[in-house]
Amino acid sequence: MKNQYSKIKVIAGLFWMFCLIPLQATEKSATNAFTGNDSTQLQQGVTVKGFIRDGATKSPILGATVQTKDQKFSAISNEDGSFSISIPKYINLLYISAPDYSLIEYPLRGKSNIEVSLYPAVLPLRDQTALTVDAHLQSLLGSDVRVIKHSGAPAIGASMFIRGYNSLNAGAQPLIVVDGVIFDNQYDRASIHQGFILNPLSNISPDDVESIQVIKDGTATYGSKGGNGVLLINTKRGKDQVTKITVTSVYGGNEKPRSIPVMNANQFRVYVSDMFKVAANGTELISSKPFLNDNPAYYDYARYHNDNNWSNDIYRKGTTHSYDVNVSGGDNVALYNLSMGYADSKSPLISNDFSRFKTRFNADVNLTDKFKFSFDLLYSQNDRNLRDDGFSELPGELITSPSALALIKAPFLIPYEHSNTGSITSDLSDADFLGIANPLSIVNKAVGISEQNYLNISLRPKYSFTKSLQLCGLINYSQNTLYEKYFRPDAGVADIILIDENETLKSFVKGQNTKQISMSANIFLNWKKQLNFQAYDFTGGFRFCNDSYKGEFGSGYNTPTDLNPNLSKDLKFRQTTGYDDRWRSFSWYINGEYNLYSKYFLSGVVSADASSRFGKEADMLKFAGAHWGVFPSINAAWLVSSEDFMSNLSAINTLKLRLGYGLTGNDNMPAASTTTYFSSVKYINEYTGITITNMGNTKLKPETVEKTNLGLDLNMFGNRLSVSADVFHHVTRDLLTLKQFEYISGMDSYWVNDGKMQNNGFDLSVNAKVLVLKDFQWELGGSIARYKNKILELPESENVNSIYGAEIKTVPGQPVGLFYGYKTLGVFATTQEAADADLKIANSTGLGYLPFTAGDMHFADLNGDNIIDDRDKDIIGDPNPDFTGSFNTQVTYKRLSVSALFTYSYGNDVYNYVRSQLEAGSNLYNQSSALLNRWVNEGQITSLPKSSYGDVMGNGRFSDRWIEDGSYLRFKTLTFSYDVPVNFVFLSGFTISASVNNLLTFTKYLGVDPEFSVSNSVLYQGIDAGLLSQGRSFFVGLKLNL
Amino acid sequence: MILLAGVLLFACSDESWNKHYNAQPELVSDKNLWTTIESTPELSGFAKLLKTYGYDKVLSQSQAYTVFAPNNESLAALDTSNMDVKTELVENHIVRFIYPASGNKDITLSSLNGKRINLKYRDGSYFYGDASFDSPTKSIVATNGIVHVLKNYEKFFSNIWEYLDKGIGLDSARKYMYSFDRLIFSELSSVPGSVVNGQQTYLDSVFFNFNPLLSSLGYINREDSSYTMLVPNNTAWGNAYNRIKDYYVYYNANSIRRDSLQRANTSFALVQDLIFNNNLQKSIQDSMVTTSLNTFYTPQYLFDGAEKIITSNGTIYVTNDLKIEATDSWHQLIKVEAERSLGRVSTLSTPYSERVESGITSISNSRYLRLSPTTSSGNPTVIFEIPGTLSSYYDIYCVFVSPKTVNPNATGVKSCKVYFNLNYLTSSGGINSPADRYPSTGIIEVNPNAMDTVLVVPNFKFPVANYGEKVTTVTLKVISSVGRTETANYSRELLIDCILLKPKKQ
Repeated sequence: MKNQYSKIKVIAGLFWMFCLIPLQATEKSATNAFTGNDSTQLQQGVTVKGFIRDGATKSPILGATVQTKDQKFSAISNEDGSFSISIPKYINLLYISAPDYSLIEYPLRGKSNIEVSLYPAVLPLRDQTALTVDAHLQSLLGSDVRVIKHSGAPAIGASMFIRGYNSLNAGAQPLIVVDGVIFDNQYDRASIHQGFILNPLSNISPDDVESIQVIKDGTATYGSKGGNGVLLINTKRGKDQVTKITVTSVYGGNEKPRSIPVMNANQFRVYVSDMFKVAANGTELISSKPFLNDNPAYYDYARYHNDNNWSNDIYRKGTTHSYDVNVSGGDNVALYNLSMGYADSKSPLISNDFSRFKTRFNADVNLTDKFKFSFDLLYSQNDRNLRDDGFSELPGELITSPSALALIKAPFLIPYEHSNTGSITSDLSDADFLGIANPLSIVNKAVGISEQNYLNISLRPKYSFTKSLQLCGLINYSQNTLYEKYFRPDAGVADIILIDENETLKSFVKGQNTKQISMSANIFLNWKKQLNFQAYDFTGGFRFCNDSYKGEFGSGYNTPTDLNPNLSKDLKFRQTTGYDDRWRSFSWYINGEYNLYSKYFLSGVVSADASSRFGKEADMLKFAGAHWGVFPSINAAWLVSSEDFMSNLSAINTLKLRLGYGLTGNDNMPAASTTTYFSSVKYINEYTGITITNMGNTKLKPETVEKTNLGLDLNMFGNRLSVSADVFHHVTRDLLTLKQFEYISGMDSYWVNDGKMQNNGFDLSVNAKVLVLKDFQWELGGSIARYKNKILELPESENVNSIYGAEIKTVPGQPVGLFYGYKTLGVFATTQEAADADLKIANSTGLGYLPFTAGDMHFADLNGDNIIDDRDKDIIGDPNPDFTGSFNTQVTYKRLSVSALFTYSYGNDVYNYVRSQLEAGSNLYNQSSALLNRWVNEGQITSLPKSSYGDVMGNGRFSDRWIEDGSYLRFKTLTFSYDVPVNFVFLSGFTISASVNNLLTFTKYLGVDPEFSVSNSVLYQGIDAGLLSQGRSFFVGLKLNL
Repeated sequence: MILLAGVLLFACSDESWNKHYNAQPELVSDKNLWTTIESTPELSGFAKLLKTYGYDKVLSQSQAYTVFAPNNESLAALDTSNMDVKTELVENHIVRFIYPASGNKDITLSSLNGKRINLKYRDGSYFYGDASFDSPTKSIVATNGIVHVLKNYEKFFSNIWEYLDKGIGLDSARKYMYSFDRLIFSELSSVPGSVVNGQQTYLDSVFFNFNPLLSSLGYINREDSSYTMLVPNNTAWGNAYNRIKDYYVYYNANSIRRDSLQRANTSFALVQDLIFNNNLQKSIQDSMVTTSLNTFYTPQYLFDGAEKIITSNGTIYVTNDLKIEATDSWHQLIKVEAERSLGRVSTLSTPYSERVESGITSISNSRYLRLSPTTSSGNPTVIFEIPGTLSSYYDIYCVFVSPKTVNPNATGVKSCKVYFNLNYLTSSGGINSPADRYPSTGIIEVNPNAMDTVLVVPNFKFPVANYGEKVTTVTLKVISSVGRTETANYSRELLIDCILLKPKKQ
């Protein structure tokens, strides 16, 4: 706490410093400044005359608006493009705009006669194919947010990180604020479907989004919730009284995505018949295996002699279509925007479908001059049909994911049974002789449902006491219900035999129902005033959030039949859990903004947050019976370009320097982590008892992220080149981390505030209007972001998590989540090479040793003891990228626009879990075709070791064999758009567009898609579990303006 | 420009994908084992043999094999005229699974003809059995396996069973032993189809070979164990048969049945002690145990003069003279434990099967029969059935238990007085009547102070054998004969341990 107070002092000092410096710097002009009211200022003001023309054609622009920032003074250009505006002398920045042209800020720098070129606005083409806002973000925000789509499943969402990882375990995803309301994206809730990540953001249609802003720096407005940065999403509202009806329709198809090449039937038969060397232990047994009976007269020959590409059975051509009708208009009392939409997407993976119906109504009502209110309503329903996707995190678990099964299943089998005469029937076959399920049976007979209903109601009253003083409120109610169901059928899936229990598990059913109700209120007072050359804007108020999250989960085995996939009391090994989490938070905040001469800007925010999640004995400010986290921030900016000394640098239109410092927080600790509680358990499946489940840490408090930011915005060459650059330094303190209990406690771990982490980096974006001609414009933009993450302190000397068979190590002095395993030096080609290395592993008894021989992997013996064991592990990869970002370009010729977006990531390592499952050569699963190159004979120089049933030597262990460079450059979207000039009765125009997504990907990565994110968690980044990849897709769109 | 940057940055995007996932020509051949062998000039001879016996098709299929292919030079001088080329040459050089010649190998492989052949490394060369080859220069990797080019061919060794079939002059032994071969239908392994006219049909009928003789004498037809077998040639077989058949003279109204019983039992007696499991012999100089668990001490005499033949699963000794003694083999001691109630009838008495205290070893099976008189005046009798007698000579004993053996502290023990009746089947098919009485006159007094093995009748020859018959025709009746006046000095209680029939050497 002491520490925090000292920071507040520092901030206060900075505040005064920034106040005084500009005052001193402008003292000279200030002494000549005007006093009194605005009219006296005007009398003593200046008249600026000028000429506005089209930058491309050089022709004058009629009707361009010239304004001051507060819009108190404005002028309109004449037919010859000339204008004249009288303004107070202290005004040094004019805002000039015209319909269909980009707005520019023009620094006067003492000039009274100006010439201004406006350039046609090139509106960014919306990514029509995005079904959710997060997908939309990627194309919109460039490097501001590192958006990593989870998979190719429709509307699945994305992991989003702003400026590195600001938290380790408490969630590093940004706060999302929709129309001023904090939106709970349920980052810490799990779906019951493998490979699927809940995405409440899919309730919001990108069609309704007006704008998205990112708060990357340390503005403390959102206090203890804003540590990971904030995304502000604003939806469309009625703008004017003219009734506008827009109908948008998009139709598209997804190509079957690339899949990892696996061995064909003949290659697999050779592989598997060789594996039986150990698996079946001998010649006699193997000759009785029906799949090796090559006699066509054999009754079961047809079943085992096909050449099937299983991916053809479970992938298809996906389709996506969406429709949206948007009506806006109103009168002088009320403006409204009503939209209704339906979207439906069937992904290229069978039984991976999404549909959404939504309706949104936003109204702004001016009851009196002084009292206004807004009313927003959203109802959205989205339904999904799902099956498990990708590989399970636990190797050896029954595989039921059709996408994984298609890779591992024997290619000499087909999904259908053969009749006695050898012809193919329509009956789906059961699990095969290796116990591998029939993916098509799972597609047809399993159940996978995930449905969300979302209702949001907001009321925003606003009362203006004076022009300067307003009282505003925002009261919001939202309800999000989730219904999920999962059923694994008996048919087509192997039984699980529990020897100890003397039971056979056949089918499996689970269900989850949850309901979240969020209520929030935000009441604040705003006072703003322009006093001569100074402008003030103060906002102060409080925000109250109350959430309840209830739900239950049930599961059990062995339903009576596959036709009755329901939970019932007769199921075996039933499990049920329920939860009723409630949490509240309260925040007082005050935000002050000040500017001088519109050149020197200073803003400061302080928020004090209390939350039911904070510990009762936390080391925080105690007040009114609660514990408060205090989060101050200060930001200053200097519009250098408005200074007189810049007047000779006419190439520079605007140059702004920004400096910010602030504290924000992350209160995303589990809801009951400060509470000690018991839960009921079943003892030997018979008796019910209670056991202590959690030992609450009553000292728990939010993480604090200290953010320092230095930025620059530059517009040059008649606003044709704009650059924005930032460098930042973030330090997260009091990291929420898990600490192990002593083993005698009988419990696992508890949450503590301990540890420190920093992120340093920069982001840069450049946008250029390369060519601006009469009918032809070309814009080019690019962005790059870099962060360098480093753990400074941890409660324990290191933190090693076992994830997907990998060890993920977090250790002070290094970035988060490094891959920790064995290094390899290739495969021993010859006996001599192996003998020279003389390496061995302990055998299963631990008493003897097994030597590595020709054909085995050569693991680096880091400690030089000739034994390959834990002591030879090292850091083998870093999933953090060196750079990420995007490029975009847009060419407009008359009414035709073509835009292209490229995204890239450079220097990030990937753990290719899929390859580790398909190239270990240690079991009877089908393997990648790379296994054809496995070592077979003495002297072969190859990178793939010999196949070995059971992998005695551990050649497939977690090593740098599976770590790859995940850098990529992706041609993300190419969009053509054409405005058809019509004016027919009610049709005032329409736009047709066509776009291609994921056109090309340049990468050396050996997985199907270098862009994936198996979880939102920081530690799960860079692990490719084989989720549905983002294939190429084609869309056509039609937009009608009525 | 961006595209160009991308292409430069990730120039080998598809290249790295293809390099990883495509078969590399320097590692992976496009030829299968057959086409590889066919196209290798130095293997043309072996290729010709493969094709002749259909192995061109087998080696073209997608299953993993290793072919140890003898080169042309090694096959040049081979005379295949008296050879089952398919089994003895072709299948002898092909094994399932992929076995590279790598490392200091010493492993046993199973060739397609079921032989177990070692792959080993010695002094810079690899050996397949005894045939050497160089590695890796002479190994060729195909899509479905490896070809090792052998400098010599690996000689085929029959196993004992196969040698019986082809060995010269072994017809008698072969004919007998092979006559047990059966083909057994396995319902469990077969795949049932539909039921036609009430009969279950099978889509896939699985049969397997079964030889009940070998299941009792040892699987000399398998490669995974090792045996020594003494095989009488036709002469020895004939002589031995003639020698043994007198032990198995039967009476049966049906003469075919009678002869068949004699033939079956004589033949079995002849072979029952021919096979020795090499894994069970402790010291072959001292003794050898046959698979029928009969022990031959200093057994060298059995093998003297026999011809030794190495087979793939052991050694055969072909002998011209089978020297097995009857009493070491088929003509053995018969012991009938008195305490066993089966095949025992007693009168005027209550039989008790009593256990002796531990430590008393003189009583066989630690149990004996106590026959207590049920009346004060009656003399107990007991009849024992004696199974398994041969038509040969025995000394017949009855072993009496002394009350002092059972209870060393017993006092006032009294002797008992007995005589015996022996019944058996005569050569004319009837039971001898009246029964033979032993002693023909008088009574035997049994020594009550020590175990008394009473010789009932010496050197008795049964006219016919009862061995293997369902009904036991030989009985020995023990009759207590203590007069009413003698009870003060003699006991009517009989304590009998067992009946012994000791074979007599001829």
